[in-house]
Amino acid sequence: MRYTRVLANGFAARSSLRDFDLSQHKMLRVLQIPSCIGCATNNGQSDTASTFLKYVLSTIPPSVFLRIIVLYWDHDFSGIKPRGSDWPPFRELSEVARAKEASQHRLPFKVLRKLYKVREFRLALSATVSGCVAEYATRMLEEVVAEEKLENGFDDHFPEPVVIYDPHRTWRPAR
Amino acid sequence: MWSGGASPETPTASSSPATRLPQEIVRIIIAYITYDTHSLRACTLTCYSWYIAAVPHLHYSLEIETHSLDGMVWWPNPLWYMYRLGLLPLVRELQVVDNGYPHIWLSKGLFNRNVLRPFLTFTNLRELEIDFLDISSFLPGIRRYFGHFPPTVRSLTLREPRGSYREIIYFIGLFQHLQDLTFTCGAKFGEERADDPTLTPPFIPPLRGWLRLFYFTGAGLLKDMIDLFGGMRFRYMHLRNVDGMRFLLGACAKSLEVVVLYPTDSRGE
Repeated sequence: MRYTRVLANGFAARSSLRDFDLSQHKMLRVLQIPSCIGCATNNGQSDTASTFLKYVLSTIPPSVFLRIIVLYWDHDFSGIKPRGSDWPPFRELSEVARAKEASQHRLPFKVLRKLYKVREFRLALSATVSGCVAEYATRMLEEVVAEEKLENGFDDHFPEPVVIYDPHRTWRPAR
Repeated sequence: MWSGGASPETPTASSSPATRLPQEIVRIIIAYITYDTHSLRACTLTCYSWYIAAVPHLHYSLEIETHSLDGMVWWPNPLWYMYRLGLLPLVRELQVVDNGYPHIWLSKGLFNRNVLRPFLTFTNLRELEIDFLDISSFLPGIRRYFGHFPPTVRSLTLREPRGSYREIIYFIGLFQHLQDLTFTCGAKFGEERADDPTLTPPFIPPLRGWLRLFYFTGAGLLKDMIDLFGGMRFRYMHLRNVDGMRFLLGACAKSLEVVVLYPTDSRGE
């Protein structure tokens, strides 16, 4: 199967699934993927995403202890203003909008549950956000995990993920 | 024993509990607000010890955006006022960005003596990010312009640099302690000038941290880097829309611990 990856500037990089063979990577510990694999579920690309990830996971040696980290950046949270906006860095969100955002963040679980059947892994949701919005983002992700637990549950076939905070210094108010 | 001056009961600026805290405690307090510029600014106005603790965070990051007016290129005001106040040595993270169109190529011609003066005072940079750097134009005397950065810089980001593969590798080789490398490039990357085989990088940087490639079409550059630096040892990779993926993953097979991949970039063919 071949893929055409469309670049933002109109150029395309071509690669095949085999290009993502990680069978020689004995030191590999963590595979990080963006939370947009969840958006793909909505726009019909979930099969593409899960086919890709299933292949990548199947190539990783069984001896490797693997953690998958789903990355949530500042722009994934609609309650956070874009970088460079004025202080404070939050938007007012209604309860309905907040609930809608939480349900969006739960979408990656559909793909991840399929992947767990291919290979076991530890799962973490990472709020890869600036320090000033860390509390908001981590609390949101904790709510997401709690809702998923309530609706679909976690067990040995799909253990409960942890929420982590990975700070990065990018968000600063305009001078 | 009280030895003169104001009596212990006299309220003075120095008797405030805030000013009597040990510096280690002040640093811990400040660490909680490193991202809150408004609070940091307030802390610098409290007293000298709070100023000392807060000011490095306040000026940790500097973003300067060049802009053109009537064909002339202007450097922004923050660069000049921070230079006059002697604050540029506090900057750890420098971004020279170009968000305008058409883009301004950052070439030797823009660095006259006056502009070079503030740039020479960035002596503690850890992270350097430059948009549209015309590396070719700085050669062969590139060290005059960037020679003071290398000892401290650990992270280098180049967005659409101009130059041959060899020239770009030479530039990377100026930074002897470089760990992280980020490229964001277009399709014409590296194709514009013929390579000079005599151009050998002055150092072989460790490059054991992050390799971040976004919209990257310069697989040949990475192959040349491996030849000139004797391999590739990145432990972390963040790859999005990259040509030569198989080669790249294979080159770091023995060192790669963390990889960021984008499955939904792909479109079935």
